[in-house]
Amino acid sequence: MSGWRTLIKVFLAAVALMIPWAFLSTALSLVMDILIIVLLTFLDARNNRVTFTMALRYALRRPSTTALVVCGLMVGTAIVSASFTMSDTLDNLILGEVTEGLGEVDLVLGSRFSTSYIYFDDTELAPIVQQLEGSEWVEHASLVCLENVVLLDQRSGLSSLSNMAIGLDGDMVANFGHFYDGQGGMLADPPSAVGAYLPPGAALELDALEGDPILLVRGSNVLPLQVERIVSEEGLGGYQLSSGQFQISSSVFVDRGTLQAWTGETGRSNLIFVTLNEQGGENLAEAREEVQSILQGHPSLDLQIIQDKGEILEEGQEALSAFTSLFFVFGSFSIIAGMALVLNIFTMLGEERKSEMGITRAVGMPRSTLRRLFTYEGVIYGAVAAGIGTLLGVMLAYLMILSISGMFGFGDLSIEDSFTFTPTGLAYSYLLGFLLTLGTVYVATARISRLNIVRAIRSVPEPPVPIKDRRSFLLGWGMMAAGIVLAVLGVGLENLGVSYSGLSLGALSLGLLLRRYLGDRLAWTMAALITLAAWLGQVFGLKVFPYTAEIEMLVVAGLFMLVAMLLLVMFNSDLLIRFFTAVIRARSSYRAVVRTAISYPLKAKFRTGLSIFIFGLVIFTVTILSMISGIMNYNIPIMVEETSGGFDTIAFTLDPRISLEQDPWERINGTDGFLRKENVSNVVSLPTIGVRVNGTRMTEDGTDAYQFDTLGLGVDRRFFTEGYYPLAEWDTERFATEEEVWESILDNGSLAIIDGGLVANMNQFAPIPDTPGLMLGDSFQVMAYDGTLSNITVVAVMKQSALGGLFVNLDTAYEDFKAPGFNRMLIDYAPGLDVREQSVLLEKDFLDLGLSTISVKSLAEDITSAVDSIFTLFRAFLAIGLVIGIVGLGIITIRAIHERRLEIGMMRAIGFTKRMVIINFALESAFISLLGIIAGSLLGIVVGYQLWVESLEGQDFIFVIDWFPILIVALLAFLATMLSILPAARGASKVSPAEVLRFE
Amino acid sequence: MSIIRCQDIVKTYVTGDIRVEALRGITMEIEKGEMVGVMGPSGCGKTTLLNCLSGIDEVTSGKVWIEDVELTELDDNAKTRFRARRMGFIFQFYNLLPVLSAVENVELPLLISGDSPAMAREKALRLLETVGLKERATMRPASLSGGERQRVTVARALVNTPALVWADEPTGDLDKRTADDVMALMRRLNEQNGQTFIIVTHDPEVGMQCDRIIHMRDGEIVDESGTVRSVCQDIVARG
Repeated sequence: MSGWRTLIKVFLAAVALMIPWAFLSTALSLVMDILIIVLLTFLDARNNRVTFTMALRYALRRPSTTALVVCGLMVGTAIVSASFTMSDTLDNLILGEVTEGLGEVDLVLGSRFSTSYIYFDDTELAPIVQQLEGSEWVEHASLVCLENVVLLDQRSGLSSLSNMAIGLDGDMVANFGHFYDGQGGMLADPPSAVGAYLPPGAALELDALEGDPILLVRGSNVLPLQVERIVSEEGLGGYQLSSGQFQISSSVFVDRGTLQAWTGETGRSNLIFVTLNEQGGENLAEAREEVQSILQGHPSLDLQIIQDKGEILEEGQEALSAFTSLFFVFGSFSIIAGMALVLNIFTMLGEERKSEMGITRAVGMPRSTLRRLFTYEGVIYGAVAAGIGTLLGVMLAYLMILSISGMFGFGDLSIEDSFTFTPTGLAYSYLLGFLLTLGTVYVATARISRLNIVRAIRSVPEPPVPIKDRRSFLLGWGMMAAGIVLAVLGVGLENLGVSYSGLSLGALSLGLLLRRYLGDRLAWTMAALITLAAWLGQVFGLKVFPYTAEIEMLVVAGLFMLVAMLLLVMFNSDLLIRFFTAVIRARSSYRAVVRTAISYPLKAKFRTGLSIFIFGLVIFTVTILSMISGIMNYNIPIMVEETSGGFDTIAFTLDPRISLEQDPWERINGTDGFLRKENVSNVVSLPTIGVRVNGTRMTEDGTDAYQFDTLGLGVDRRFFTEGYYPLAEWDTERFATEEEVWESILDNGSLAIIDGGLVANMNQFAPIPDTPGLMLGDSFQVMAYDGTLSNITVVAVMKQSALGGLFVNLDTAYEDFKAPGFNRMLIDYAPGLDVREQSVLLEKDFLDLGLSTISVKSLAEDITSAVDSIFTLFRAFLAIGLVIGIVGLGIITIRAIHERRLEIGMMRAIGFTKRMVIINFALESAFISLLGIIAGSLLGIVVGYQLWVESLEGQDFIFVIDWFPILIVALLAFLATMLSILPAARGASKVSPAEVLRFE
Repeated sequence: MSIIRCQDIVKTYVTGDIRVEALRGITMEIEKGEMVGVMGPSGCGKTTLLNCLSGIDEVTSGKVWIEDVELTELDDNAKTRFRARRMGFIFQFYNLLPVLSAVENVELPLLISGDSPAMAREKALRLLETVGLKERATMRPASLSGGERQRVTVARALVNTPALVWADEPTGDLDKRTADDVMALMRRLNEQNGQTFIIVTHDPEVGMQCDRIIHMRDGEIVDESGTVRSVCQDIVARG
């Protein structure tokens, strides 16, 4: 009957918790749920006043214990809260940047050719603008000119290479968000015909002041203007349109007529800016669709949406959500560690109060009331801890954001200014933290409430669970059933994590099911070995379920493998003791210490197991992180080297239509400019030009046509003899060696080698959206900008993808692709010179061409340092978990000393010196932490290897293990553990044998 | 030849403003090979005397010599080493380490004294055989009966062939039959090996098996060669 009543109560509570969700926002519903839980607890407490009073007094009885419990409990909440705050901040950052960077420009329309945009007569574009403005979704549409330019401030003498001159009209300024001065005042007028507006970034680079004379340079064309205003990034001032490879452009705003006249495109524009109205903003998909249908009405112009604010926002949020999900994944290890600590603390609290609880049970308190007592106590702790944890998480996130902002060059992005948290995030964190605490406490109380009254009163240790125990047998069947359900569900969802969880649960249930037939040791050893075999088999290619692993798999893998490893260790502890006592050749009298120090932890299986679990879990994750970062750091320089072809610098003109009129080598050697000629040891030059590829490919559904713009690059023999550009694949039937392939393109102008980026899934650094997906052997038509057509066949694919395009011989580049001349150089400097410094001098020498450089080795250093930084950040995040482990061991030691005072007294009486007592406790903790460290490291290496096999091996990453950070973390964790237990161990050594033997 | 000598031992416990004089200037001697019982009413200072003489507690003043070594002059480490080599202890509640098996508990003092593990194991098994527990050697204390546990304690106390064995209420937690067995065992070992036993007890039957009784009252020795009868009469007289 009481069971039904409980069921009805639970049902009513669940209904009460769901009601707010029907009427209120997420944040408010969460807050209401928290209030309902607290209210229900107090209503229940009203009917159980004595129990509640006891819980309250227990919570307040020992302030130091309460503080420890609250600290342990709040860790989980803090991590959840930090992850939510990170996510909110990054969302805010991307929203702010997109809003600021694009102003009110919702869509940009144009026709791209390579890295520039095709000009059309304004009269051709005017009907489109009219149609757009007639749409129910569009507020305004305006014609705009845009050109790549070099800026030179004549007063300061400083230049800025990568800029976009945006030519606009007065009406456009009014409709797209206005310009604002530094004080936030709106500017009434657009730039005049002889003036320019500079945003703060460009002004800083040029050290420009209002009134400075500046030059806009494009090839040999120079346009003198005056800085009329330095505008803030508010409104139109922050607008940027990204284009081309390698560059982050800043904008300079000029009069449209002036720009048109200067570029020789009078009466012509190359872009249309569109701002949507409120309905358009709310119905983005429909608005996009309508704009596209308008553009399709003018097929001859081939206009496309080339920038979409909504899409950029979505993509940005998606990219950042991958980053924040990593925080959740890695944070979950610390959360689990925190839960394990809470379980340990409550189990110890139970043991500490065992005799009192025995007496309360003896005088008539039912088990359920005992459980309720602990649950009330958990509610009190949880309510406080979740509150503190939520606030602490916000602070933690702020600290992490500060460190991220210090670590990375985010360009102009200011992540700390974007720091924010939302009520929903806070409410989620509090509720999750609170529920985690309650759940963990409830599990812990199940153990405590089963105490035997007589044993509890006399403080006699609980005997092991009999092997014929019916409850554990039934639990085994329950676990087996849950495992089967999970495995089936995993197969249905094609999810590796779920299916392997089911498999592991099923394997572990064998321990409970077989113990009555085989005994504990054999049954659990078997269960653990099967679980480990399932996971390890997967690592070495023997997959039970053939699905792809997601990042969340890390958590599942870590949990089950560690549990299996622990079972293996704990149920074969005698072998371990024998091993350690044989291996540790302690000074003769310390053999006794070694034996007792290892025997005690292995006797308290649950407590020790949890502590090893906490340590192991954190070290497991740190090891995986270190391995991935090690692999990255080792391989990225190799790949950058392959990309660079071994050259120090890649130099290129920002606008591929602009080329050098003479051979760059001759120009550099002709006379000393900023760059001294003897400082350059080698230059390989390439003509480069934008081309359009048109092809068809046979598919299962018929023929698939494809078209994309890329670069055509002309190479001579020096390119591959003096440079190193390894091939990923080539037509092996026709060519025996890589050199033969290169020779073939020199001989045959219809053959090309393509970069890895043009092939699907070949990019080394990041996926390129809309990869054309070319394949070896593909033949297609290439159209030059003047319409000249040529047929090209792909004979090889390069490993690198940074220098992108079709690599053909010089004749094809000049005659078919219409390359105007050399506009890309691969440069080696004399040994010992600062590559970046020399590259700046080179840029200055070629300022008239807008030459930009990439110092490849410096880029490699930047990338590896960024990779290092991000992994350091994650490691720092995980350090919280490690702190939990260390605190947990400290608590165990204090508790162990308290429990074993009598035994310590006896040991002292029969000959243990004070030093031996200290060493005994130090060894106990060392043993636990070392087992955790060893188990975590071993499993981390195995899973790290699997990650490499699954995600990195295919990208030619070489497997390496960077031992240094793994060893450092392990060593630090070990030393911190030793330091944390030392005061307690010293206290133990001072136990007076006479006193404890007499009074305890 | 006396193995234990003490002179004017005073032990005072101070708790806040309260001073309790547990031992008030005790002077006495115990001969080698004797089995001496220490008896007296509760709170008379029997256990305190045992603790002070064995060196597990500090004296407030006075001197203690064991085998002519002045124990009260030794520092803690030296005292501990001396205990490990020359003394054995038997407690009322056995105080075995629950995580070690019977044989491991017995060999512990030998390992502390620096014996090799193999030799320690051999001696421990021999002692367990002597106390009739060889077949229970691998059992942990939780699996042994009270009498068996106390016999393991006796074996542990004697394993390093100590010159003297201190026993504090060795039969206090045992039924009569088991208590008789344990006492008979101790007496046999005392007679066979000539080891000195100092037994603190309330039990007249235990006292009757001793060579002599040191009768204590209020922290002082009333009679160094008392009888169980005189002690019992004293206890009854004082209620």
